[in-house]
Amino acid sequence: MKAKQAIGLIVGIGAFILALLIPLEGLSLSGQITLGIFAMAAFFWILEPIPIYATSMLIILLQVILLSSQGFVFSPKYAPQVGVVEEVAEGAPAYRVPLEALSDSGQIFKVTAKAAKPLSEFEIVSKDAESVLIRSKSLSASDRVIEDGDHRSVATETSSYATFYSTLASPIIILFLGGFALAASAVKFGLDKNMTRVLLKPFGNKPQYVCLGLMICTAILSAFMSNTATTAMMMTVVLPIVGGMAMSDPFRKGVALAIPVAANVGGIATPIGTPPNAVALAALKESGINISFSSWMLMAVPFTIILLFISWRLIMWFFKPNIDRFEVNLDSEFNKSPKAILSYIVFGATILLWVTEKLHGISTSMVAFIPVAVLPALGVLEKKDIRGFSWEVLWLVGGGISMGLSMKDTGLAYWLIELVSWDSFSGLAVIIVFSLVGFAIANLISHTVASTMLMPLAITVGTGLAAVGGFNLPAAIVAITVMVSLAMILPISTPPNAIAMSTGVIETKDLAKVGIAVGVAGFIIAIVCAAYVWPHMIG
Amino acid sequence: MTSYPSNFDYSDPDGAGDRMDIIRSLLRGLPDQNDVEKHFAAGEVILEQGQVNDELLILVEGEAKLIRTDEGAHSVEVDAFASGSILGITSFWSKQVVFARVEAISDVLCVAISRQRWEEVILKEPKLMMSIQALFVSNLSSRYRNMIQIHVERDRLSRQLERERNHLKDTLLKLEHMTNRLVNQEKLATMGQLVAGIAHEINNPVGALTRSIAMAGGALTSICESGKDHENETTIIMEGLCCPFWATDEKRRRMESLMDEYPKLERSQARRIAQLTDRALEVTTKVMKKADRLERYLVIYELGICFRSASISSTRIETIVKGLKNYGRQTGDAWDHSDIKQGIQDTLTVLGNRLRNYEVEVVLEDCPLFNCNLGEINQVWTNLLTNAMDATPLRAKIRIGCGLCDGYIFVRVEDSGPGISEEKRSRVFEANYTTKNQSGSFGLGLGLSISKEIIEKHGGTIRVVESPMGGAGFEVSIPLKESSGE
Amino acid sequence: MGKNIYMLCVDDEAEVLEAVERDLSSLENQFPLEIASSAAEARAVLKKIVDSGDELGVIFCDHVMPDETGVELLTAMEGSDAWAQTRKVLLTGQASQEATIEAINRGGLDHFVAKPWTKENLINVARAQLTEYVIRTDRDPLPYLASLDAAKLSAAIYRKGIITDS
Repeated sequence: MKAKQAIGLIVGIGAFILALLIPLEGLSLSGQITLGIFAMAAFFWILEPIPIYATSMLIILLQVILLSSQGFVFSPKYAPQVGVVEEVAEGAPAYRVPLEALSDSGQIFKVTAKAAKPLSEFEIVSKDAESVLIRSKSLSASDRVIEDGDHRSVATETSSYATFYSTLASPIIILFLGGFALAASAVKFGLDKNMTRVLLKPFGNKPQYVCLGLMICTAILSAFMSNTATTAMMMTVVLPIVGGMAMSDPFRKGVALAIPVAANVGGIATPIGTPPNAVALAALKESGINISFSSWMLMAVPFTIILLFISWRLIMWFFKPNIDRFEVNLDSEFNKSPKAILSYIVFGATILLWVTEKLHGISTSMVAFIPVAVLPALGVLEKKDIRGFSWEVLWLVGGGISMGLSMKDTGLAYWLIELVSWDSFSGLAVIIVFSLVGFAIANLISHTVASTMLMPLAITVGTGLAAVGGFNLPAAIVAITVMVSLAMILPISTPPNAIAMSTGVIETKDLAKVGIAVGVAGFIIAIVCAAYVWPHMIG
Repeated sequence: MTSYPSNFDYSDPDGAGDRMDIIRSLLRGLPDQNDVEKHFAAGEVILEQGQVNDELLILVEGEAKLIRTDEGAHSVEVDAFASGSILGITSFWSKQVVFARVEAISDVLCVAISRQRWEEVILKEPKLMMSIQALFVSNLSSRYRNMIQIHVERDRLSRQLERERNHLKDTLLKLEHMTNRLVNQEKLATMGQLVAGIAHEINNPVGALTRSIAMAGGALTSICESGKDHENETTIIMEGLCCPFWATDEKRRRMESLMDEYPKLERSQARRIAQLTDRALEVTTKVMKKADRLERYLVIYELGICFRSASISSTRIETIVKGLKNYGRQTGDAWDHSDIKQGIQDTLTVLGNRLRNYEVEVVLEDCPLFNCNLGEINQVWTNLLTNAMDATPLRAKIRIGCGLCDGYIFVRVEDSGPGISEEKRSRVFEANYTTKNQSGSFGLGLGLSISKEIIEKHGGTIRVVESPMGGAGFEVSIPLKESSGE
Repeated sequence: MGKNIYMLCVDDEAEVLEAVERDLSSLENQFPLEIASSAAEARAVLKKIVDSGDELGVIFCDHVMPDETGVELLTAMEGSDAWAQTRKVLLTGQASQEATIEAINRGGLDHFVAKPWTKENLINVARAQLTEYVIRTDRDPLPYLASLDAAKLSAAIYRKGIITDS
């Protein structure tokens, strides 16, 4: 184990224990536990003593054990005694409750379906050694109160453990599952390669235009497939050609850089393009905002096109080709077997249903289940194809969604936001700050993790701002997500970068140069869009 | 009234005289004697095979022979008749067609008696019957005796034939062996010439190679001696030129200790340094931190290794070529005072490629030169070694040794294979006896028989012995004095 | 450090081992090379490799060696869990047809290099076999993209989803 990992393990567990031991003003016990889990997860995600998807699963385990209403801390077994209210005849309505029910802070907690809530108004009539006589309009004879007003679980809303598990099958996860099914069938029947071949044709053999063609193909494919898989596929196409070029030709680097850049940019275009999109959608959904597939594309596609073009010009400017011909030969043919044709139909139909949500009203996540169910039913996807899905990505996102849930529910997100006084920030400033922070940390850690850690906070701040007015929360969240996706300065920033870097064709400084240039361009466009364009598109 | 002799002696095989008496009296008894006389010239057919015969012919004068013609129109002379014989007896009595033709040898006088007349005679002279019966029996018994004799003769002849045929077969087999042997010898002789030719062709370039390597090595040394850092570089090149082939485990150990000592050392670099000899290493350790000097030392050392390897390899080629030349040179009929030990060594060199797969033990004592055909003798060693390799699994033990004892040169070839069973031992030297079912170089089963011949030609013996190694052993002993050119 | 992928060359001739060492030195820094002069020594090296938690990616093995033939060694390796995945190359000048068939059928032979070889050929074989090893053992292919067959490894990433978005 490397030193970094060892530190991650120690610091992560240390942070968890510390967060539980130090009393924090204004944070409930469940909030404190959530803070501990969040702190540990953050260190684990950043320093990776265990795989990031394992950290996600660890979050859910800890939530189930420590935060659920059936768990170790808040289970009924450890819950306070609940007493029946004794109605007293004289001077109605008056009730007798146990003396301990009155907490140190002078509150009495009534048991409701989800948690114990303090009585909003009551008046103490008399006290004796064992009981208190109170008068209150919000109590009735059938109500029950907590007999120990100072118990740890009062004032805490807990969820059933099933709530945490259900994040693994949340509509956003299902949306991604649908995307996986589509991508798997496309890969299985070579649809991706054939599309590349067809799309590349009009670009001729001038190096610059072939490069643009490669970038467009990569972007389109990565909008529906995993960015990594797309990059790897395109690398198999270009590496043999690049290998035959003169070592001194800058175009070698240009091509090798164009593909990961295009893959990262292309991932922004659709909700299923890259996991950070899922995290953003899930966070918005938690706040009651639903963004349809088409609305997302309406915002993201034009942005992607503009940024892709700019990236192409930048790369061609940095790495001017010396050669005057660059030929990509793909000798594949469209698979015309019945199963392949079925898969094309399902692919087309699903995407059509996604972009036409406004016409039929069936939600994105509902449509997403069509390929999940239909492709295996038709025999297009077999057992081994299903095993080949990137389940760990779903785990990673699922754990992230679950973390966000607790942060919001336990008030941790709010408590964290309160540490900074946001009052002095304008809406635009908030977007800029979150975008830059997101961009910065996403360059160092997984994009999904970066957005997972950032989204609950951004949503909390944004909700406050939106309540005041003049702030469009979805547009802001999309802008932040876009900036997270554009983090590609370092080889470790994204798997596509890692692949390109590992080929040995490019150097870190080339990556940094292009990454920073594209990042700056993307940042400017995203901020302008979030402030002036997107709010009008989604109203 | 005519009297007939009745005291006919049946036992008289050649009772020709008596028969003639009977015939004469018979003829006398016949009425109209003149009617029935028939004359035949020499070579004329008396009775034709296949004709219907209604007469009895009594041969009165001259000789006739019986000839049977079989289906293939082949005629065989079956019997001969002298005067007194009766012709046509069987066809007359059985009323079947004539079985064999009767031909006159000389001019023949016969008296023919037709069936009608015969019946008349019998009726008229019943007493004549006795004499005629005697005559017939005498005639038939003579024929019967002849037949038995023929059978006996035929048997004798067929036995003789069989003997001759066997003799012929043996001769044929011997001829075949001889041909095979000659072809084989011819092959070997051609191969020998070929080998000697190739060896000669290779010799010149190899010689050039060896000289060039030596010169280049010297030149390299003098370059090192004239450089700025001549002291160290000379040491390095000298050590490189005589760098040993490290045992792999020794090299691994050296690499590991180097990598322990210099943790930042790359593995490929450690491997290069690990092959340095102790002296070279001592010099090199001083420049471990100066990358370009270190590289220069290593390159010089590796150059030295290259020259060392090239020189060892060319020497090896020279040895092989020399062995080939010696081995191939004397496959003719050259008798000369030769060194058996050298011959065995050459044979081992020639078979080296195959022998590499076996554990070969060579125990050769010095032997005095003696007059022999070394080419042929070498062929014996080749045969014995090839047999040993064919009979044993890969990597089995094979031992060849020679020595001198009481005026005899002894050579033993042994292996640890399955050995030769008792009943096969007596047969291994027979020509065409082989246990190899696949075509080897001597798969004809001639290897050992030829070897035996060669050894015997030199006045020696070859025999199968039991090897202490568990397998078969062959012991050749050749007297030093006996051998002589032929 | 992750597990190392070793290369091993077994031959009883010192010259051959020296030549292999020279020819494969360019791969050595990523794939440590071990050499052994007999099958018995090769087994000791195998044990050392497995004891240190490393793996053997490719073995180049001569056929005709004293004590134990290359094919016997390869067959034994093919039958053991630890070395079944190792890519097996016969490096020989004089394997009989039977031995070669045996090597293919029972020794899981992957490649045959006839002596004498050229440096380029040997390196190509080593790279191709190591690429195959990395792919078949589902290792993270990224560290090997620059030194091995990048296009093949990329294809494996794409086909097998070895690396995913994160």
